[in-house]
Amino acid sequence: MWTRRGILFFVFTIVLTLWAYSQHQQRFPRPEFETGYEQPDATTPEPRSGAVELIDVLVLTLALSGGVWLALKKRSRKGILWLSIFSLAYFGFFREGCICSVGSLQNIALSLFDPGYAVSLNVLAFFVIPLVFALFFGRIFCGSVCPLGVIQDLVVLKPVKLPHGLQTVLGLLPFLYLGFAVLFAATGTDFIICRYDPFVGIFRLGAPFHMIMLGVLFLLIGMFVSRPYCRFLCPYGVLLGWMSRFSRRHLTITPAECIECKLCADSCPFDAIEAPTGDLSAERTSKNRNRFIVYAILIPVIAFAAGFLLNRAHPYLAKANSTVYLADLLVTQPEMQFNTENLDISTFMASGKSLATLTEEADAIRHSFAAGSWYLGIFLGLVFGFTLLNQVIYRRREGYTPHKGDCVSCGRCFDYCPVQKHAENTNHE
Amino acid sequence: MMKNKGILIIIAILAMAIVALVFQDIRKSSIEKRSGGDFIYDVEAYKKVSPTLISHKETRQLLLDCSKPGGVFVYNNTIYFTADDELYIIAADGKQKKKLAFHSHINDLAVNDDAIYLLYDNHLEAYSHDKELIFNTEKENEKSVFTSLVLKDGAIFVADAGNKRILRYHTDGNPAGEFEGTGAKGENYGFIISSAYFDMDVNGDNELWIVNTGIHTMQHYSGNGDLKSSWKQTGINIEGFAGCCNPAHFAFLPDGRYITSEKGMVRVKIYDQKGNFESVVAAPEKFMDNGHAPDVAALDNNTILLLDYDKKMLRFFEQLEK
Repeated sequence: MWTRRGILFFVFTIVLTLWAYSQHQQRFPRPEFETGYEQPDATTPEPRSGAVELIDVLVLTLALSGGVWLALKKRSRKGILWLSIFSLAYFGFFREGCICSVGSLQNIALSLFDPGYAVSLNVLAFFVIPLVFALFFGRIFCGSVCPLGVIQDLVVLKPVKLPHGLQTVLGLLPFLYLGFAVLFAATGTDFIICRYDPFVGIFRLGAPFHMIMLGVLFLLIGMFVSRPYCRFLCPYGVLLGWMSRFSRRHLTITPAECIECKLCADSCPFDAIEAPTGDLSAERTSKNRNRFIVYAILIPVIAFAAGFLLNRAHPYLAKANSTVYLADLLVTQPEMQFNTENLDISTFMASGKSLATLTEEADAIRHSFAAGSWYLGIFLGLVFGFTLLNQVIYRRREGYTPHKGDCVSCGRCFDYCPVQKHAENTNHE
Repeated sequence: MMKNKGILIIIAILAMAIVALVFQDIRKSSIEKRSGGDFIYDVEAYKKVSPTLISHKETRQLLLDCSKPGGVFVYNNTIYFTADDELYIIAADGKQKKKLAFHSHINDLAVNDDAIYLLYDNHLEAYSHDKELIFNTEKENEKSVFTSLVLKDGAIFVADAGNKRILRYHTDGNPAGEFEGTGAKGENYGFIISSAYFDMDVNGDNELWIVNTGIHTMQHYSGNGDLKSSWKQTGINIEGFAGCCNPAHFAFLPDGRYITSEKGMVRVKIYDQKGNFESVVAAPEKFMDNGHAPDVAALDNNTILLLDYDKKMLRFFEQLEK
């Protein structure tokens, strides 16, 4: 039964929503040239008013809370599936995939390194809120809310298990992507996560050819390798994975004690369920210990070497920056400044800026790349080193458990656990 | 593992396709290979005008020895035009009747039996036909840029592009009000004037027409500033007014049709009394690229006069026989 307060709340919500959307209507229509010219569809969403942005944050928070309730309390795969479809519709097709939490990390990186760049509260909220939820409840965002993840989730057809070694190697790619995304964003070079977002073209029902094709290819791969973008590329997933490892109330496969029936083992298309471990032999323990010591000593060496190598490569990396590239081009090929058909060159020439000023700006950016590539190299070296270290660290596990870093809390494993069924049967009796 | 071999091969091929796509995008997006592409502003195709649309041919040119022409006006089939600080009075056949020198550059002029009215950047002066000063108005504010002048119902109307308003003066030079193109209820846009092109004219029915260049619209106002009617033609095609602040100048033919003059892609055209495109007087090929719009006026026999600011000449265009 609807209580009076409930009805009032419902009416208030509807009115607030309608008001908020009325606020973001275009005040002035696009100019109509009456020449048969067809206005191209915008490939980036219209700016949104503050009120609608607030609603977006509210929907994000509610969806995450709903995801927590469904995954941890209700343990309902069906509920999570419907919530994820809603999220795909809202954050994907309605919101046209922007701003998304995945891309927001670039805004945050740029705002940290460029004092002239201010990040909006909306962007900050989309970056922080999923991480906070991950810190307490695991990667609920990935399983229930992220439109990029959901669209891949819906096309899983015949998931195959990848060899462990290949998974480990591919698992390093998100770190690489994260590192380069931060470096490029922090130097004001490019937002590569957005540039190569494979699904945004699908969400916006229109995008450059390469973006549409990327989406189609990822979805085709996703039919056999579940969530390929999430598992082997998503840079935000790295941060969520870190947070999730510390989550105290993470999703569990079984509501009670695991009876090690193995029924759940093959239910996870993401290979995120870890089998129980037995005792290690003394010989193996000793071998692992020796390797651990070697790897632990090697980690700083690897990190330094990677930092050094990337620092040496920074002049090439810096060429990704349009200012650096333009300066190099005009210095090495001065005749290019007369190329009036080139948009970048003609824009620079028309700006009245001197070549000396341009090269000064390019030098400053190169300097940022030099420092940034050191940090990036060290980061990647540490990631590689700790991945090696992980191979020899033995963790004792009782029963089948989700890998807190990799599990996306999709809830597929719930229905495979007989303990739950047993409990339900008991209740019936 | 082997039973999934086919799938793994497909996955590998798809993954390579992804890598290839990304590399191709990186390669294509280098500045060196980036052309203006769709962003190049190219209106060459629109400069070509079908000969069937041309209604006039150029029959005479008067080369002016000046640095900057001002405005052209026809009264009693006599041509009055200004260049620099001089006023030229010539007959319809081009023979010079009189030349009068004044103190500084004249932007526009109007003539009636009583006086010759000369428009300067921020004030107005009236002279008798014998060059005796009748009055001069006080200088308006620093933002003022007076661009056009007409006479109607015993009042003088002056277009001030700088302040986006129309000033009204009595015939003795005393101010008689002003209006900004907004209706009493605020239902009109007001004058959207983003550069110093703000022309007006009075037709044979004594209607005051003002061009609201920012919205490519011809507007008919009462003397009190009430909008009575309007028509609009926007577009880069020959039927429309293209680009910013067009038509920069206009005038009326004796039967009330409009002669419009556009800048940028310079072209002079005729619209009927309802604002429908009718013909082309002078196609862009007759003018300099990215040139100024010539000021326009018409003689009784529908000969159209163009005061060309770029070529510094007064050009006569006579109607072709149908």
